[in-house]
Amino acid sequence: MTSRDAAAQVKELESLRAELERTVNSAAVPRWNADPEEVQRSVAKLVLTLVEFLRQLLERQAIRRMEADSLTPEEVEAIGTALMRLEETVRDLGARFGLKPEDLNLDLGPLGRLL
Amino acid sequence: MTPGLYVYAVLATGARADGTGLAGEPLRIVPCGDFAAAVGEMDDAPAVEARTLRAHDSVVRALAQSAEAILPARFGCVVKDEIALRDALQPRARELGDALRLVRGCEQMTVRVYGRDAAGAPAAEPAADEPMTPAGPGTDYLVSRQRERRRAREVPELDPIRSALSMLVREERAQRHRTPPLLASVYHLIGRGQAAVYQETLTRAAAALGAVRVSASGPWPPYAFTPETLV
Repeated sequence: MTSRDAAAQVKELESLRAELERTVNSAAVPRWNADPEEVQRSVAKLVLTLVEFLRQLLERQAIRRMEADSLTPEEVEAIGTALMRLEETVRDLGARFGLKPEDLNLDLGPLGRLL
Repeated sequence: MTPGLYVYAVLATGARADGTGLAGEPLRIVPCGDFAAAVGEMDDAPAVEARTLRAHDSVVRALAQSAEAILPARFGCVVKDEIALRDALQPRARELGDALRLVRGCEQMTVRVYGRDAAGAPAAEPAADEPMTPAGPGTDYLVSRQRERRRAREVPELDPIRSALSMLVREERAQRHRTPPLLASVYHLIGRGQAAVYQETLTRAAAALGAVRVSASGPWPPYAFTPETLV
């Protein structure tokens, strides 16, 4: 992996985090629902679950690259920091909706659970 | 869903795919650079049920009979067309090449490890043998995640019988589970035709395991040795 890839990945992680904050904060509430808070909570749950899924995927990839020595120490630090901050954001936003880390999962029926 | 290609396995170039797939469709080979993929055309993705899972497995087994090296795809792997298939495989050429070399002439035994949780589970020791990284918090974070993931693939419960099996086992994959009494699944890559010897050796050695119980099934095509998310 070139350092441009690593820099791009850091940028992507950061924009994913920013986008997440924006989405959840502005979660539009459909007017027709009787319980707007419940809708907001389930939207947040779904969004956070998918983001956490992506985050874990990127984390796995980063670890693989670290093990393959294809990252410089600076890149490891930058990607690690971005992943750590994204995890904090997911946890904080979840807490605001009363969602614990173990709530962020999807039951995929016969295929098991997403995370 | 629109018609697509159901992927059964990745094989070496020059492999043949005779017979039919799990929906009775004819099998064919799609050349993908350094590899070949065995596929069948399907209108709909098959339903996930015991019958179709077994059918997938028997198609893979039939393919394995005429191929020295086979990387079985997971059940339910459908791509749009040949172009999409090549696009998915080509970037991972090196990884797939290594995996194909590894499984050549081999099959898989699956060992379930049962016991009381935490009995022999590794303590969360901070891995003293690894050098401390005088780096920043980002590096610390990633390194601690790496250790966690590594621990999730370790099965120290089997240590007492590893030397007995070492003559047979060419490679191991393992996954811990959080569903006691099932503690872990261990996948052993062994030479084709050695399943009976493996079973015998395992049964004999298992006495050394104390409270931990093991049960092995197989031989299977090397499902656990296919790189993750094949397509």
